[in-house]
Amino acid sequence: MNPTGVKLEDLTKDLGEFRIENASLEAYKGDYFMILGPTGAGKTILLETIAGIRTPDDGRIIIGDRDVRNVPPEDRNIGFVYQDYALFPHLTTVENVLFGLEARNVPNPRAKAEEVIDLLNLPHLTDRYPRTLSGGESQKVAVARAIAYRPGVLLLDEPTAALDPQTKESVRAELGKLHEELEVTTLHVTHDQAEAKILGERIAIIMAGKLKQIGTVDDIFNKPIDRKVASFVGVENVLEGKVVKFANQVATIDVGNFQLKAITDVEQGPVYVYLRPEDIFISDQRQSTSARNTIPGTILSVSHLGQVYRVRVDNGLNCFVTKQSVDEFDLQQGKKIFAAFKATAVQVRLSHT
Amino acid sequence: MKDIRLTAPFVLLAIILVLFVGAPIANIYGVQLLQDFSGLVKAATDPAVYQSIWLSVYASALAAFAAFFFGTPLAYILARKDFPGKNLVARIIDLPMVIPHIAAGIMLYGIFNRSGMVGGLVNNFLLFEDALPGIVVAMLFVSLPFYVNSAREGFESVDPRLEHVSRTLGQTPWRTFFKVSFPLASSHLLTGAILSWARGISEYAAVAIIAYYPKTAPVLIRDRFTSYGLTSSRPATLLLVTICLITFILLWSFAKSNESHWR
Repeated sequence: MNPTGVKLEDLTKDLGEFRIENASLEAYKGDYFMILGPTGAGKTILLETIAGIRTPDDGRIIIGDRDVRNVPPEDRNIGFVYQDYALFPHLTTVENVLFGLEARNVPNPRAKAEEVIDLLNLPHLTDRYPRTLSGGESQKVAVARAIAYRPGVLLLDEPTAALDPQTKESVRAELGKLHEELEVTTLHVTHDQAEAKILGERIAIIMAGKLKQIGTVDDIFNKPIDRKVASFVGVENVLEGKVVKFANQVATIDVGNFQLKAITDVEQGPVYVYLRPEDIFISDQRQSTSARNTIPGTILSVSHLGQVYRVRVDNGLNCFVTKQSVDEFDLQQGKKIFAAFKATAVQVRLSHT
Repeated sequence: MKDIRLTAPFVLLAIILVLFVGAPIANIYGVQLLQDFSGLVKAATDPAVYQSIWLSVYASALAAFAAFFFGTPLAYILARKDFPGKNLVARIIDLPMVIPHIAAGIMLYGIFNRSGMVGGLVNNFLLFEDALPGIVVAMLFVSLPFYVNSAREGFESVDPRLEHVSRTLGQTPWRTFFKVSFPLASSHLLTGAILSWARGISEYAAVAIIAYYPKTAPVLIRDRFTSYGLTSSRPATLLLVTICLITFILLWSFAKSNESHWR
């Protein structure tokens, strides 16, 4: 095993109706790097370009210390797993796994194949054809095939998208475990925020062919770079404001409808303020709590979202509350309430020009 | 098919069509076996008859092989690549299906005769007129579209991502073709080859123009029919049909069993 880093520099790929533009990112050696974006953002195309299945129009792809722009896929030292697995239907599990080992003339291919089949707990499927496998089983065979010859980089294209929720969980756990064990640099593409949070060490957000933001899980989910990213990662409250006072790490920010306090390093200037809807508490009277912010308002609407209810308030805040709170405080349209949140729950980012 | 008002007339029409194909075959067997069995035995032991059948089967197999050899790369390109003029190329390959075969024979004769464009070039060591190569060329011309179209359909049915994965796993484009694309399309290729072989055996007009001799089975049957009539041509016809039917059934079942273990 010899993991290598992957670096993209200003990668551009024009497909007529769609375009990947100036994509730059770096996944360090041994990283578990997530590429998160909505459907149709260009995730698969980006991954296929890294794999050499597509040729970029411009920019550089560096795997390890080689610029692989003119290197065919078979010489890039990668493993690739497609969303719907792309197992060879005419080959059994073990033959699928042997495929890459034999192509690379790895010594003792059979033993290596059996080793990786054991690693993924698939011995009972060794001689089965893909059409007889379930989604989860196919997924594991596809992963086994891609890691059998110990590539430097593993590229995963929405590996859990086609699985049912339980299988999804177990495949995610398996991927995390494998990464720990093999330390292979992994680029994992997904549209699923939960998956990105669970598995990712670092995350790149891709939207409409552009890499919008690269950062840690905390960066991405708490300080999204703009409104679009914020709403994609589920930050429902994005407010524009201005720091009007700053003292002892506490900024007072005017967001138009009201002023709020935030713990931040941003001392001045126009800012974006982010507030996750689950971090806001609602009560029917002003209470003394440890929360530094208590904002009055009138409920515009209450809507059911499965586990929680979303409450829209006329001061511009969206809050998530439980059914219990809805019943207890009799939350409904027109009711006057107080929305409280801690100064630490507020994320502040200078609004870039 | 719950509504009898639709089903009944459709079934009736379907039965008529199946009988239309089945009845002449049943009839020739019935008449020959019941009324003129000795004629059949005589034909089966007549060297002119069995040699002509063998020639048809053999020459057509050569033509099918040529279709496979030249047609497979073309079919793959048509299935996988986009290029200007692609539709034109595809339509050119279809032309032999719409050109009357007697005209095809005349056109082929034009370039494959002793002094023709191709025939003249190679006439020191390869003769097409009234020779096996001429028969093969005529059969290839009329049967090529059957192979190419079936093979193209086969390659189109292979998910291109399987080829991509093969490349990422370390296989070169050539080895990817032989280990992934070819085996996955093989039942279509075999079907195409069978169709093209069958089409070759049945060809009369194009073959007769370029190579009346040595006589293939259709030429011999036509010859006997014009000279002596139905009774004389029937036994050879029956033998040809029988051999074709048996071979087709064997090849079809082979093509089916070939992939049934994984599909």
